[in-house]
Amino acid sequence: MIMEMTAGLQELFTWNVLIFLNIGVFLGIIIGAIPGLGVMLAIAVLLPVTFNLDAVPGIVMLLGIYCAGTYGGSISAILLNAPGTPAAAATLLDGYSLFQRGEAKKALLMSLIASVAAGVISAMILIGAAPQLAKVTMMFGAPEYFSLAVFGLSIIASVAGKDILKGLIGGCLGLLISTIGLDPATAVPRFTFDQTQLVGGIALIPALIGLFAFSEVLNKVNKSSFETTNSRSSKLRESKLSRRELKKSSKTIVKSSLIGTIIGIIPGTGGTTGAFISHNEAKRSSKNPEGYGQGEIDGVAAAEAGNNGVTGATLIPLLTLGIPGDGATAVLLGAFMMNGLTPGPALFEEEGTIIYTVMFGLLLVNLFMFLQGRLLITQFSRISQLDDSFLAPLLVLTCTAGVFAESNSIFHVNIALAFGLLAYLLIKFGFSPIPVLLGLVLGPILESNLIRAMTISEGDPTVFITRPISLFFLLFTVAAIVIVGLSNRETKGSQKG
Amino acid sequence: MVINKNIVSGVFFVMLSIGLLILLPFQIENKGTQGLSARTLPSAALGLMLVFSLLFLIKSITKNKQDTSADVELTIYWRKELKVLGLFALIGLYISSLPFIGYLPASFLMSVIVLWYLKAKNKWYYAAAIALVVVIYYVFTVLLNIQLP
Repeated sequence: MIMEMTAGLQELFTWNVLIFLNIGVFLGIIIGAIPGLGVMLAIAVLLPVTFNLDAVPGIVMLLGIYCAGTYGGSISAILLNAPGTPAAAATLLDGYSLFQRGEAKKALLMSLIASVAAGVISAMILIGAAPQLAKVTMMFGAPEYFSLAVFGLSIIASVAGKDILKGLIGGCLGLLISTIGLDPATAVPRFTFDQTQLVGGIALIPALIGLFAFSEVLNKVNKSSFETTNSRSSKLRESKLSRRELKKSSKTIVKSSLIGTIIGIIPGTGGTTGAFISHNEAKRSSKNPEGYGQGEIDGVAAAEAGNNGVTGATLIPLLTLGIPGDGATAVLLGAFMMNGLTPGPALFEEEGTIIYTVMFGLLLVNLFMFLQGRLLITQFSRISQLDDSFLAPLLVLTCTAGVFAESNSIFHVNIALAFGLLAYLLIKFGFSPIPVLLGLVLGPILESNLIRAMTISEGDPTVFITRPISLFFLLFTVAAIVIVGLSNRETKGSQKG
Repeated sequence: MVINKNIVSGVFFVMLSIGLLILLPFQIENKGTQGLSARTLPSAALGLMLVFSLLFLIKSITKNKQDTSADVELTIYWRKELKVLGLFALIGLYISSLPFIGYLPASFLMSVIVLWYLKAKNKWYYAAAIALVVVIYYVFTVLLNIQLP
């Protein structure tokens, strides 16, 4: 194994590999920052570029796009309130508030540091324990996925804002919207109102762009652009991430990276779940939980470490079992196979050198992501100095192009706009759009695994409590709700007192 | 105009839940196995939404009626809301026009009109918006090889 590791490292440190790795990182950051495009589309679109390359530079370039694209999503989340990728939705909870306070640079730097740290941690876990951890993946069946989705929904309690009931109503609305289209088991159309375009359901990307980006465009009418721009610009120079803040968040970064890694090992869960669970955990364990969602820098660190921790971990089931964890890794699987590498248990024995080159490549991707990100942050943070009147058409242009590119459908762009109006009204009436998003993301996982679990158990619902991992998540859900409920009570009590 | 936003939204969600629950049997066929049907999750989501909305409405009505904080009261400035509606219509018109006149001309028009609508005074913004349209078109169609309308 040591021999293979050394040979892998030697193959990695060649000019050819380093150049394509950096091209991948650069493209990943830029494409990830464009709302709607997303990492999967970026990898799919740039896959043909790697046809003429050798296996190692080609795969490492795609890994660069994967990791940097996941990080890039946070840039637009912080600067435009429009998450570039669904995984960055949790970042805007605190990131955009920091931008509005003129602390964009600080938020961007924390997001970069947390993303890199999480990427490095998950890559090291991948190198050190991939085959052992892959066994955990095998223990996940439909009941476990269902219970994990239920646990994910319990996060609504923490992101609901001042009124938990408003969050629960939003979560139900999201769940309801997620059921539009064909039923996963019987293919019966649901709430399609005889519209063929609704048969496929509501796609996540248009909903995400609408909930955050288009609603922000509509909100810009109500803002006095002169005042907001001036207040942001005057503070931009002062906005620095202090050592004290970094030290304070270091524990959160490590914890969130590990949460992201654990979530990432389980196929089909993804960065969005990892980011929200990490943000929720950071808020729960903080001495100042009420600051989260209002521009707490630790919240940015938690969300970003949570979603980038997933990047290395999704490669664990991919490389060891040949199971892609999400859409992006499914395209990566294609890239491996195109190069004659079939991921699975035999790959480590047959192509050990290349596998270790890829694993160490992931580590290097994160280091170069830090260097490139550091250079780009100053340029990106200048967006704070632009008037809202200019940001509005900028958002409409990029979001329209992004949503259309993702689906090749004008109908999806219209869906995004409709979600924009919905979110505008929700925000106006004091509802957060985050629970709606959580319902939308977790609804399909919840439903399809409920059906599968009940079919396997022949209709016996005790399957959810007789399997230890499933029971663990359900108990964890109850504990999380009780803790949030008690802390809300304490906060209200102290406010009255 | 000042409204109690919690009562208004509570009433809206109660009515929405009831309306959709009535509509559900006409929209979803009752087909399924193992005690689960195509109606299970939509019914559960709607049922829970109705319960939470009712609880929220009751809480909002019984809460201190003298409470006039921003958490409860919403002042509606009709001129501003009409302006939001106007912007929404403008974006809707832009999206609808894309298949007919194409991304480039539609985006040029939309950018200039939205900037004017939001009273952008800096003339550079108009030039920058037009340049941005060209950049986005180039990045998508040439560099990424993704077709735009």
